[in-house]
Amino acid sequence: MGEPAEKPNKENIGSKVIIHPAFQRVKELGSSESSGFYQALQEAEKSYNAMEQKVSKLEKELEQERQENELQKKEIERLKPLAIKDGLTAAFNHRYFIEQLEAGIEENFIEGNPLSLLMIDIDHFKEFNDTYGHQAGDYVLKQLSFIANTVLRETDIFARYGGEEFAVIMPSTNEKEAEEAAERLRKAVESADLQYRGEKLDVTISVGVAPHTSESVDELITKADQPLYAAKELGRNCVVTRTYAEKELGIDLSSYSGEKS
Amino acid sequence: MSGDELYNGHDLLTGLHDSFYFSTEFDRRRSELKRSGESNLLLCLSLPEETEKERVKQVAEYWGKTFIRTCRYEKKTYTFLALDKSKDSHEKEQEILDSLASNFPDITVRINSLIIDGNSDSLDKLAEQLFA
Repeated sequence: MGEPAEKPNKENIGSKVIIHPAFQRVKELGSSESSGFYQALQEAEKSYNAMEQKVSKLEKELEQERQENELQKKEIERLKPLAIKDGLTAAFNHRYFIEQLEAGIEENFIEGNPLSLLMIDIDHFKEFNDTYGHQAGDYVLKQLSFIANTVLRETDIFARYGGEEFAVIMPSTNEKEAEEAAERLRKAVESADLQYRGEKLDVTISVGVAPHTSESVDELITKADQPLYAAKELGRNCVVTRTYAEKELGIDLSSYSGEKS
Repeated sequence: MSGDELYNGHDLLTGLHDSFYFSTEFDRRRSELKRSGESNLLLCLSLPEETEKERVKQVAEYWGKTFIRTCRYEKKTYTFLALDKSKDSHEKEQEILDSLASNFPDITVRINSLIIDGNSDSLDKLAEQLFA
C-alpha cells in the first residue's frame, strides 16, 4: 500500500491532485485480476462519490462562513452610528459629545480657535409626558433634534446630553456668534408646527451660552449650564449668555444650580 | 450585548479612533475649511507589517499625543491618519520624521501628507491617494 491519501481540507482543494487509497489499490492489483480489478473499481467509485459529497459539504460550509462574515461586517457597520449617536433622536450621544468637547478644548489651547458651548433644555418637558404620555415626549425630543440639525451648521456638534437636555459644541465660534445661532434655534423651535395625535404642542427651549476661555470640560459645561438656569428663571423660552447675565443683568451665576424644568 | 460593547469607535490595539469615527471629524473639518477658505494637512504614517505590536502601540501613542484628531485607518495595516493645521506639507513631514527618528531610531516609517480644503474628496478617496 502507498502513502495514505491526504485528507481534503480548505487549503488543498483545487490546488493538489488527491490520490485516493482505492485508486492506489487498482494500480497494485493490475488489469489481469479482473474480479479484483472490478471490486477495486467499485470501491473507488464509492470512495469517489463519498469524497465528492464531502467536498460539496465543505464548499457549502465555506459559503455559509463567508455569508456569516459578511453579515457580521454589515452588523458592525450598522452598529457604528449607534455607538456615537443617540438611538432615539439621532443626535450625537453623551460620550461622543464629551470626547469632541475635550478635542475642541485642546484645539482651543493649541491653535487658539474660539469655541462656544450651548446647553439646551426643553421647557416644561415633564408636562408633555404627563399629559400625552411618554411617546409624545419622545416625539418632542426627535422633533427638536430634527430642527436643530436643520438650523445648525455642519461643523456644530449637536448632542443629547441626557434626558431632555441637549448641548451644542460650536467650533470657531465666539460667544456673540453662538448667541445668534442659539436664538435662530430657539425661534425655529417656537414657530415649529408640532402636533401629536391631532393635538398642537407648544414646545419651547431655554438656552445657556458660554465661550471657552481656559476651563476644563466639566467647568465649561457648568459655565454654560449656569446661564441656562438663569434663562429658566427669567421665564424660559429665551437665550442667555454668560456676558449678558453677568454684565447686563448683574446676576451672580455661581449661585445657580438645581431644578431646570 | 449593546452596540457600545461591540463597537466604541476605538481601535483595540492602538487605542486610537478608527476610520469611521475619524471620518465624522474629517467631514466637519472639511465643512469648516469650506467656510473659512483655509487649508489643512491630512497626514499619514505607515509602519511595516512586520513591526512588533508593542512598537506599534508606542508609535500610536506618540501619534495620539502629537495630533488631536487621529485614527488607525484600517485593521489590516499599521496606518495612522491625523489632521493638522500646518500649511507646509514637506516641512511638517520632515518635522515628524525627525521627531520619530529621535524617539524610535530602530523603526522604519513612511510619512505622507495631502493638503485638504473645503472641496477635497471623501476621506476614503484621499486615503487611496495617500497609500498609492
